[in-house]
Amino acid sequence: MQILEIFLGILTAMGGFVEVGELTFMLNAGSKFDYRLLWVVALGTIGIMVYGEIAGRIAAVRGQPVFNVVRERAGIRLGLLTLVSATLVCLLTCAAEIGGIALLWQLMSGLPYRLLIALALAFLLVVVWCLPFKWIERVFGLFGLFMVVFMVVVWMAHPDWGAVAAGFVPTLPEGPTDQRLLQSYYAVALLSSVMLPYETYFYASGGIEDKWKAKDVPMNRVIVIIGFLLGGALAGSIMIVGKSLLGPLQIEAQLPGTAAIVVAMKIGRVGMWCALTGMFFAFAGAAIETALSCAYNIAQFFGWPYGKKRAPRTASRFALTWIAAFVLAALIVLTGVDPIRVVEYSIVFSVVILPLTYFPLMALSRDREVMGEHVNGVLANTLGWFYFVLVCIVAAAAIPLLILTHGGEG
Amino acid sequence: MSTRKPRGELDIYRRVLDHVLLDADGLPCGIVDEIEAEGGLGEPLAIVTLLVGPAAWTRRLPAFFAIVAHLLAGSRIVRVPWSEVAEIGEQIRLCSSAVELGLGVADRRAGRWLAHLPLSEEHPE
Amino acid sequence: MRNSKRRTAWLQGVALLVASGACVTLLVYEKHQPFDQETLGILTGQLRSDAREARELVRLDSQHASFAMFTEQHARQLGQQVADLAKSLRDSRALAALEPMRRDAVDVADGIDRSLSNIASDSASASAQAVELDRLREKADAVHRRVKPRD
Repeated sequence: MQILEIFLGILTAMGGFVEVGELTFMLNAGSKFDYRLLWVVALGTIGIMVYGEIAGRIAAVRGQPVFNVVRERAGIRLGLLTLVSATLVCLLTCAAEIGGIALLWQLMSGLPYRLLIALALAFLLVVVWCLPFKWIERVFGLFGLFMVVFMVVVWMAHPDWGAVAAGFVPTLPEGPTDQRLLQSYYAVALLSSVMLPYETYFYASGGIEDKWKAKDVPMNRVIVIIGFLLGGALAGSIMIVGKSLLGPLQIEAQLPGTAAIVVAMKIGRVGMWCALTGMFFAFAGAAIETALSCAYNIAQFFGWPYGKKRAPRTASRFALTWIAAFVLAALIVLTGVDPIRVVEYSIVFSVVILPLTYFPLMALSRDREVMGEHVNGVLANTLGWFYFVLVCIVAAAAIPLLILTHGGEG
Repeated sequence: MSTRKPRGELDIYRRVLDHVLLDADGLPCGIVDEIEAEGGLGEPLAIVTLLVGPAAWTRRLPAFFAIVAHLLAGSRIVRVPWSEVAEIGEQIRLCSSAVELGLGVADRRAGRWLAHLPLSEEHPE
Repeated sequence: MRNSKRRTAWLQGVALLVASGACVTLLVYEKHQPFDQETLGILTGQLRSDAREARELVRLDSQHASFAMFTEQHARQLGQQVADLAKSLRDSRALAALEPMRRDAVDVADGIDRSLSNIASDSASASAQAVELDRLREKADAVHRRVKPRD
């Protein structure tokens, strides 16, 4: 039974890895910069494994989710700053995912965009209200595996595997100043899109919901390592597809439909349907994760009863918060703002708050008095501090690069 | 890593402040937002009350943000006597229920609202 | 003590207001600047991409690698994007040397928008748009090369 749990957990982690912003960034990074940024995807994947494992281990050993730890270790001032920033980023990402769902449904139905936003909102509210937590995780994670069609496209595109392998070797940006700045911006954005903080919040909260104990620490490790590794491979394959198929045509992906076109170029209608289905479940899963993350974060920070496994009446403020998150996110995208632009900005801003999230996790996980035998080992400490320094540097560079590249356009 | 209420020295910053409160039924009912202690200069400090609620945590913020947070979050405060603390661990367990201590009022009020919706009483699992 | 706290609150509030005002002013100022090579190049680059994507959509449709609803709706979404781009190009002037390129880019954008509108109303007309989209794609490439010769 536990093997089945681990297997499903891995597939869920893989299927839920990609969301609308990451999809467009990966395709465009491949289209503009060939394979030169694959190493960033690998770097980010290891980073999210490290912090996902730490957050999951803390949840299992101490029964404490991320924002409890943030409040406890960072204090009220820095903690509240982290909470407000994280909530805003989750809200914007949720808005983009709802917009992405509406765009996908429009491709399949022809109905008006704004009506589809309202329908997407209703759908998400009903799903989260009625379905148990495990079902939500499994359904959207497993059906998100339709995104594996991008890996099939990679295999059919016969890329130069030598050049792909060379892409995993870190290189400095090349060319004229504007190209170097743009490549640096993409490196920052890709790292952030792979290490999105809501993944850590949601993963640890899921561990609390599943009542993980210290004996579940090895399972946590297996799920995080294998699941996120496969998710990273999926993200990398999207970049390879961008290089192979969009690069020669000099097309930049600005719509989810472009990703479906890319698949259809190799596999035809069947591939297009697989891509549209995979994207729908990936975007919907991300919308649910971000809305629930808003609720988890706020409830955990203020000590409210929380959890999808509680009846809504007994965790009422938690329930009202995720409902409000969905409604606000839908209102944002109803203003007509481009959901892809929204998520691109939120991805860049999310890297700025990563240090605020990661420092309390590192501080707690290396405290032997608190973690006992499950304290960080040499590897977790080394990688944890390496990534903390890295995200600090990247956080400092993110906003200047956003400005210098005119919002990442060039 | 939980201990019954310890005697002697206690690191109130690391073990008490900003820790989740659980009532006698194990339900989360707030966070220790502020602590009241008594003891003169040169005398041992003793915790008297745990303060829970917006009026307690907003005053720990910088001046302008304290005013804004107070306007948004309200001015409710609940005083939990130190004698109500049963156990100190990752969370702080209390002797009485949240209702008896006046904690979790907002949740119960919101719960009465949600009760009008179908499936609001259902345990989804 | 209360007075000093109030004074501190005032100072913090004013500082926040000034910082926000400065950011908004800067953004508005940037938005109203005439297009230079970089900023016009961003839009002509997007126009080139949209032209190529429209042509690819038509190609897939002719090979039955897409389905009718998708072709129509993606043309509609892409057309909306091109229309927004045309509006951005119209709403600002460019530096004197770049003005002819800006006007040409507007013409190309309008042409692509018209073609995509035809496809959006009836996907059966997609193949009929192929020649026109080829012409527009070449024009978009040419405009972008004039703005950014190194690209």
